Amino acid sequence: MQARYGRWLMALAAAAGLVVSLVAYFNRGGGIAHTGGAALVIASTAILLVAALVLALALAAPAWLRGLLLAGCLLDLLGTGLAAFFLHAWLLLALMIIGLVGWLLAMFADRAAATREARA
Amino acid sequence: MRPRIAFAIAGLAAGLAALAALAQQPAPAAASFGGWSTFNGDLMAQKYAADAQITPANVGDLRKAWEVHTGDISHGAGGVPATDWSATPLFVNDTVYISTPFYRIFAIAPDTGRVKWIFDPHAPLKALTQPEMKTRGVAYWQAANPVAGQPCQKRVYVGTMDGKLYAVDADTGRACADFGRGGVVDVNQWNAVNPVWPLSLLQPPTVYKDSLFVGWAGKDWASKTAPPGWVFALDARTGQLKWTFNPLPANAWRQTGTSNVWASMSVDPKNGLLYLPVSSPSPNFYGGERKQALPYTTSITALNADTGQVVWARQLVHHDLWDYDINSAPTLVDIRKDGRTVPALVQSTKMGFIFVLDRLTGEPIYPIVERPAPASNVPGEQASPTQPYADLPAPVISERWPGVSTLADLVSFGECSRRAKQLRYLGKFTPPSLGAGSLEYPATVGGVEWGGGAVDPTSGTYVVNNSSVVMIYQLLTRQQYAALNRSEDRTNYYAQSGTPYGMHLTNFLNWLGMPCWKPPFGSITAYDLKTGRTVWREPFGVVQKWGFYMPRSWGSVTIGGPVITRTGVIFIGASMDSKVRALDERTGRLLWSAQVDAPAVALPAVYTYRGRQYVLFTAGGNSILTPRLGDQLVAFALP
Repeated sequence: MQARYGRWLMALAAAAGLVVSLVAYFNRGGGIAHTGGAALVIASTAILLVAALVLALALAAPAWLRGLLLAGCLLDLLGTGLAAFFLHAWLLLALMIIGLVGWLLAMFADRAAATREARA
Repeated sequence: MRPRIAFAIAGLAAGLAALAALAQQPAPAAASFGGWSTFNGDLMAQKYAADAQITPANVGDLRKAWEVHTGDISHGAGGVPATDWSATPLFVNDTVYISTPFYRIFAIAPDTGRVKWIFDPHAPLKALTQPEMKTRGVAYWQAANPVAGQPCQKRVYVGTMDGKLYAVDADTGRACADFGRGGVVDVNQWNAVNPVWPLSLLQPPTVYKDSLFVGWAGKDWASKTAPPGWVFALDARTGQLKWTFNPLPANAWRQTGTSNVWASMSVDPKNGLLYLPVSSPSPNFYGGERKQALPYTTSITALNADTGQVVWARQLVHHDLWDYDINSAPTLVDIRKDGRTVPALVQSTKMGFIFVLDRLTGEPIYPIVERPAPASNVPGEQASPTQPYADLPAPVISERWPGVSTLADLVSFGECSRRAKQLRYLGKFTPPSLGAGSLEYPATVGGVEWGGGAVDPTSGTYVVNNSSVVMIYQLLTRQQYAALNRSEDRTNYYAQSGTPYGMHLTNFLNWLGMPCWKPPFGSITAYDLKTGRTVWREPFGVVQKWGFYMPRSWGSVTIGGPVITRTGVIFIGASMDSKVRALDERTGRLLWSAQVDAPAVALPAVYTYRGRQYVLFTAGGNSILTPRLGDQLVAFALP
């Protein structure tokens, strides 16, 4: 259950991050409008959203795919967070931290469930 | 003695002491009281506002009061050159006036931002001299004894890239028919010597009594001969020519040109003196054909404002080979030094020196020393054996270039250090050279740019921002330059036609576009003019690349300048990151910042209207800094 919450939390953070990035890209008074950095976080949050949704919805996905997506999500979260730091996009940075919490839940709750299943 | 009487006497003594101390303070000579009537706030270019509502304690509460988008912006598409909006807004006649890069004048209500009227001269939107559409604002004049019911008793003037000066009624925006022909004077009627391009009126005229003092900008680095640097004094009412001054003698016009005054000027109203920051002669980077003495080039020159006669002049670069134009109006201020009040002039420069002179005589208040300068190794060239140095106040940049940036060198696999070894560098004033070229620090972008410094006349604190930029000056033989015709990319190459050498001018960057030199790339410094000592120096602004903000300690290249208020608040845009800031005059500490649409590469204006103090920034951008351009005029005030 916690893993499911974690995956959805990650997807929600990614979706909110995508909205924040889009606003930042088009908001002329925001400081990073129409910049490569803003475009980059639009792309990275969009990719994160797709990956998190696949993790949340495709429960029957093979373990190798889940592992690959989780690894990709971690890299995406860290990279987007770093970009947000240098873009001074503090809301996006906060969302990526929330997404990271979701990732941790998804990762470790998944692992705990797998351990329980193995013991049973 | 009874305690009450003792207190009274002590209080009286303290009061007298305070009065005596006040009497010792030089009075603010030309502060702007509740207005901002010239490009530099006042004629003495102090950039000082006597307004006191905004203080270091409450400046953090500043909010956007209003903004205007003029619509006059171009990124270079559609046949209109990119815009560079460096205009200082004026506040006078209960109205804010500003010109746009398309040379329209906007008259705006100072409290709401409502546009009262717009004047459009329908100027050609072509880069006739400068590469971009550019304006630094308008000028204002009003009759000493206005005639009621008559138009044009108050006037606003705007110049255009094609050399036309328009006068319009400040209340209605209608052309003043008695000025020139139907409200316009074509300055090019006097462009009779080497008229290879028009005299571009990008800097507003300086207004003093009933005269307009008009300088102009040209086309840099293009040719040996060019229009010589006339300064025109015009009648503010009729546009009739009163007098002219030319920094170049007539017998030099076949070898050189320019030495024009493209920056703002200042005036000492008490003594009737006009101060000209005179630019370098053409061709900018090779002087082999202009070896004669040209004492007014790259100088500060004081004229009698009524006659145009030279009162004194001081050359600040001999035989200029670096395009070290004197590029800002000198700041005039009375300073208290060694027990007496000295009428001073403070001149910031591209070289990073701060020259402090007696403004009545031109003699240095702090020493100026002639030091040996590197020789040229270019055939035909003969660099000046010495150059003037001012060690006090300390220059805004270091004597030697900052050295190779480890980060830039690492990511370019040693490109920066390899190239640095190939370049000729013998310290400040290394002449341009053939081959790989010369490393120049500072280079033509400064040091200090045209924004110049600001002074608090009560404390004697002078504040100035600067850039720290390393460039490469490479001369090319005519054969090498001709070979470029076969190459597609001629960016940063300049003909200097009529000379034996073309020119290649680049920033010292690695293949990633990173500066090869160590930060900070820009700073802001406060000096105590009474002693010449540095009070504080801080990296200023933030570099932004692809939207990413670099560390604060790197600072930013800066264009634009500061203003100071009576309460000790410095307002400044100037940074690459499109933020405007307030700093503490005493410490340099950041007190407030706000995001605007583009780098605010103009001087801010400060005024009080109906009991509320406003700070106005023009967020127009400049492609030298970043591609981000704007058309926003934005006012901030306390809630």
